Amino acid sequence: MPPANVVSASHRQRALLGACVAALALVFAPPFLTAAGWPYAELLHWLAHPVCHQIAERSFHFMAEPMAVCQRCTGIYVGFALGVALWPHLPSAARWLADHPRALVFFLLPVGIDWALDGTAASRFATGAIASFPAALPVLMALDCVGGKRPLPAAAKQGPANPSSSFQEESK
Amino acid sequence: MNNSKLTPALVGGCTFGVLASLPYIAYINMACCALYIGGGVLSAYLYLREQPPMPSAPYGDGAVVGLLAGLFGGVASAVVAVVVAMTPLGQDPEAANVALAQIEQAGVEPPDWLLEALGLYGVTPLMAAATLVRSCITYMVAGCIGGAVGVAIVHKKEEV
Repeated sequence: MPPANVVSASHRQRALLGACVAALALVFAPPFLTAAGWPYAELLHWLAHPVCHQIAERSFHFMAEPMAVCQRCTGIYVGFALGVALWPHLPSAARWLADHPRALVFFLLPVGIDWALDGTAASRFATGAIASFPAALPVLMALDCVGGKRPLPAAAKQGPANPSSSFQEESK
Repeated sequence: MNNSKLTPALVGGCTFGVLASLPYIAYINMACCALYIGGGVLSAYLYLREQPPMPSAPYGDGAVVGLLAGLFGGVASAVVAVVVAMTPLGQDPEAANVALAQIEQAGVEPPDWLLEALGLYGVTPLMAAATLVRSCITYMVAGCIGGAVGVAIVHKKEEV
């Protein structure tokens, strides 16, 4: 019997995924809007300025225009969106991470090492994605908690390895 | 909403909100929004410190505390940013100037309200409102994530 997942593909997860896709669209939009001749495309850079250095040499370019955020931040946004999309379909890994939540900290190590070594564009993107992918799990679990999903009494009585991971599939 | 959530959110949000608006210290945010997320993590830590041991990690409560911290942090950050903009240190107009240059390059005359919102006319009510909205949205999203992640990191399992 496959393990029950700690998060499920609920309408809340899909709403969060939609928000992530919208954020990604804002990140990728400036080059395309500029190419389309929209004069206010640069305002998206202004919007993202407080959260990213936006150094052009460290940003991905499309059509000779930089994206709204740097390569590492792009990786962070893509990784988080992938996490929101994929965690409901990775029950074993989700349960392991839910049982060992402090492992989240170790996923930050590659970013730190890459920052110290002044890595390449690919390494900045990849380490950003590695750091943010697992961070999506607690957010999804929080969504389930706020959404009213509760551990079933029977599951609680059986004493699971970690009661926090005893959330059941959304009631029909 | 009870004080058990409000007080940690106020402390965590305002602490990091003020820090994020100070010149030079704000550059810490360039590291994966560290100050924004840090406010949520600190709030979650302060919240859990006052709670009895729980069998399951209260991810939902952490996210709510982080969201509140983001709201308080956003307001605090906007207030400090406006005050700093009045000083000789001023605000960093680079991004606004680049945006303005591109708009003008396209042969479009930018409307006055846009220039005002970007802060190019100094501190005005519209500039303050734009700063507040931008801060609050950014802080609330990052704070919510920070709160949930903070609970995952600092929650201690109840001894059985």
